[in-house]
Amino acid sequence: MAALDTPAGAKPLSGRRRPRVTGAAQATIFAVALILFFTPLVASAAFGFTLPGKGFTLDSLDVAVQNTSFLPQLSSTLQLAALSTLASLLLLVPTLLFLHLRAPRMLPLTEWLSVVPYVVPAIALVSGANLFFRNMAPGFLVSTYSLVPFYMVLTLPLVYRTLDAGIRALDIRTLFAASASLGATPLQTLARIILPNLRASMLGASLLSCALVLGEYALASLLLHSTFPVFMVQVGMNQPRAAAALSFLSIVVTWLLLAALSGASAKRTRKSGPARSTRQTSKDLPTQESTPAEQSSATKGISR
Amino acid sequence: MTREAAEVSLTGISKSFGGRVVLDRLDLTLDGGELLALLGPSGCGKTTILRVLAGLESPDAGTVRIAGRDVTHTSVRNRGIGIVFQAYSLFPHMTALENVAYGLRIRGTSAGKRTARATELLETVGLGEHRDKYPSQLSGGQQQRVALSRALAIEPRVLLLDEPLSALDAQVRVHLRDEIRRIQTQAGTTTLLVTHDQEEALTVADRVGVMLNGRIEQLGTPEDVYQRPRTAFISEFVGAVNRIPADRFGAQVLVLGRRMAISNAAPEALPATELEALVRPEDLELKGAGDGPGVIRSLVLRGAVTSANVSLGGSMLRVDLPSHEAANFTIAQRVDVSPRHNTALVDGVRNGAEAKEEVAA
Amino acid sequence: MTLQAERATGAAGAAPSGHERPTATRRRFGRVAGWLGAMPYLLFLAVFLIAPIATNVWTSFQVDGSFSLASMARLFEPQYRDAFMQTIRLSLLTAGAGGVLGLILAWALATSERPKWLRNLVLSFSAVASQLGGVALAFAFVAAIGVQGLVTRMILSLTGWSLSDSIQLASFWGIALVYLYFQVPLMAILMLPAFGALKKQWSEAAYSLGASRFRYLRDIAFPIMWPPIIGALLLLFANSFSAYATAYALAGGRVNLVPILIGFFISGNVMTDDSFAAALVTGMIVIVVAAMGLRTLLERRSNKWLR
Repeated sequence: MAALDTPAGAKPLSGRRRPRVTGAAQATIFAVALILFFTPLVASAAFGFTLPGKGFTLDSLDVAVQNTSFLPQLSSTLQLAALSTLASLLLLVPTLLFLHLRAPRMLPLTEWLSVVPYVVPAIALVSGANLFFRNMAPGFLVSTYSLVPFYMVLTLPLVYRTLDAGIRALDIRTLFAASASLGATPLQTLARIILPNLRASMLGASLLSCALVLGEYALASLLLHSTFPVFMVQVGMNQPRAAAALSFLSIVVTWLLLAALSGASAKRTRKSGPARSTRQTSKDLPTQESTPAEQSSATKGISR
Repeated sequence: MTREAAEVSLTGISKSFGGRVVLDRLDLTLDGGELLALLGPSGCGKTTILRVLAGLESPDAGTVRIAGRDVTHTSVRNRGIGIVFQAYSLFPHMTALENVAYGLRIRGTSAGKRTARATELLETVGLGEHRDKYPSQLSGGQQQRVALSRALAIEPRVLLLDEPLSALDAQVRVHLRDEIRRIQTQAGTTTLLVTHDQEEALTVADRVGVMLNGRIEQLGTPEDVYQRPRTAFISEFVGAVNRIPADRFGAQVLVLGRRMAISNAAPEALPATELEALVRPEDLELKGAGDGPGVIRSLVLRGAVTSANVSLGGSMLRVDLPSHEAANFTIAQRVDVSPRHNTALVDGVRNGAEAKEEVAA
Repeated sequence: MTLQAERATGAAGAAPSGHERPTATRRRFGRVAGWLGAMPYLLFLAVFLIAPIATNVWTSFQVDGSFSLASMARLFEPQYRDAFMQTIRLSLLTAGAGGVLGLILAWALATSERPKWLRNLVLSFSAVASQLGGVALAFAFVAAIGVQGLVTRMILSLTGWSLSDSIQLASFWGIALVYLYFQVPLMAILMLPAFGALKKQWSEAAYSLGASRFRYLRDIAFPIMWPPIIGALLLLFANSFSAYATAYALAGGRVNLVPILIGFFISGNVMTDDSFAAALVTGMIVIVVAAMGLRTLLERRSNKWLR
């Protein structure tokens, strides 16, 4: 009803012809943007999945997959993604819940620390890690799994923010109080109220973390570990078609992960409408929902 | 602020958005210097009227005249109107003073003059010492005062107030409402106020237009609209009302044992049976009577007035009486209830859906 | 980890009452508990973020075991100064061009209404594209406009003009072009909230006060928008400055950029001392921190306005 009073589509004051001109300009911009976004994708698919005079073929991909290091490197990347994500959740969910409940005064500090990785380029972290651990724990960087904590650091800004927003939206103090008044023990509240309500933001954080770790190259290659992106570069040296095919697939996977994320967060937004509005009135904190759009509002892609 | 008061007229205004008719051949005239309030539920088209008058929306058909001149195709900036929006309309990067002076700056008024004028205006609304604050440092009420000053700074011929108080706390609202009235009277600017708050409309306006579904249902003085509502919708929208079963006898109805004249515009259109009289709580009288048909179920103190909720013949009636009189009554007491007046607006029984159909037709 | 989860839950029951009436002892307990609760997180960051960076900065000021500015001074040697200049140029270029194009895209996204699906499609692709980068993007571009690329061959057969001769991917301009692929959508995504925060009432109020469209843009819209615009540009700058994988996969050592130089030092392709490699990193961090710090200041300012 209110929409009738102030119609969303109205372009006040823009004279009679302007809306049509504006519409055409917007359509043109969108068309150009979509073409440019898609060109590299289409090209990599076409380049990777065809051969001159042969049409569509999986030959190039096949060659890459037959490579003996394909499977181990892919699997180590998948393991790294899963481990980093799991470890991030295990570290951050309890910490954030505890701080929100018992020590909200610590939150500004932890939040400030969580964005420090923004200003530390991945390559700088490699250099520092090399220098520090070579002296302190010489064997540490040998294992591929030593990448896990660094990936946790690199994904921290996004993961922290997503989880923090989810917890803020819940007003867990009130939930604990209400639940306790109904006779629940804190453990029951945690298991039956808090964690189920945090599922969406934990899922969002996990998708982001996975998407970023799967494409990470700088740390892995410079710390001399074999991951999938490193494998792609090796393949790319002499098999550009195979590299294109793999690139296409990995972009599509990233795409799907991030699309799943925005789908999940849209669902959450719809569900938790009232909770969000109370938060917005009570707090002036920038409300961060974990759509990729807003997520990236302070992001630098980690894979670059 | 001494500009001749401009008369404003809208004739035959129609407007639809995406096939939905919001205004249908609407006519409205504001006399020079008067404050006219448009009252109605959201979606009734009242804001669209304001926006058409402002030039922020162009009508599909019809003419807008200000001081006799056709301004239907004149752009907003050349219409000489001041607008106060619901909220958040102050330029956030300008101080209160700069906001108020902005209109004069556009007109090329010298810096000294416009500062003096803006300061003077801010002092009129009691914000003299806040002139160098930014909007984010001001409370909602203060922001609206600045917005009012800003709109008045250009000495508009017409002032448009688009729900200026609806985002404010109750207390601030009452205070600012009176202030708007004072300043408007002082400036003598023809003013259109759009609101959904009936109390606001009744207390400040010279005339009130009650709107529903794109039409003005009734236009008259606040007394008119409140005391002599033309339709059941108006009666119920403007103030509280009891629906009391009534029996019809020709041009009269029998309500609570009393014959009352039917005040409807078209009494002959009413059905013969299944009628209800619409009587305001303060238009009912309570008398203690041991064998009375009514029983007081509760007494609610509302300040100077107390509402007695009386169950009578299966329905609950609200009777408002001065609180000092209410002291004579107790809960569970048996009472007589009777109307104070001789006329009543009558409506078909309980009818949400029917009323809407009638209005839409 | 489990230990900490228990602590969090154990504390939960008492939280509401403890919060309402904090006595002195309770408050002190709360502070200690706060530090304890944050300890795993703080320790983790101390070991894997703070210590490495601190070690790096420390090392860059140490030559032969004593404090020295020698390594930092070497950053100004022509070869390295050139790398910094080149990287700054690349970052300025991609931030500037990406900023302008991204702003246009953001405007279209913010104001377009009619085909909602088209807007949403572009929005979601922008969101994803702003996150792409790295090796996969580099190879995708090779497949598109590399020597044998799809687009290159298409243009060649249509016009006889060789795209890959004009724009080599393994060059400064090639890298810049690929960076734009994520810089433009990133700018758009960053600016979208600011466009949304421009309230309709501001333009309407300005027009009612007599402002023309131009005056509205000059007096109201631009002054409100410039802090977020500059802030976003600074982020784009930092983003481009610290990118490594994309540039490396495209050009390897053929372009003299700071991140690639550092990569060579770390992987031992070029012999040098730790101190100087660390100094390069410190120089890079200083520039990125400066850009991001400035952005934070601007953000604080515009947050006050755009609420």
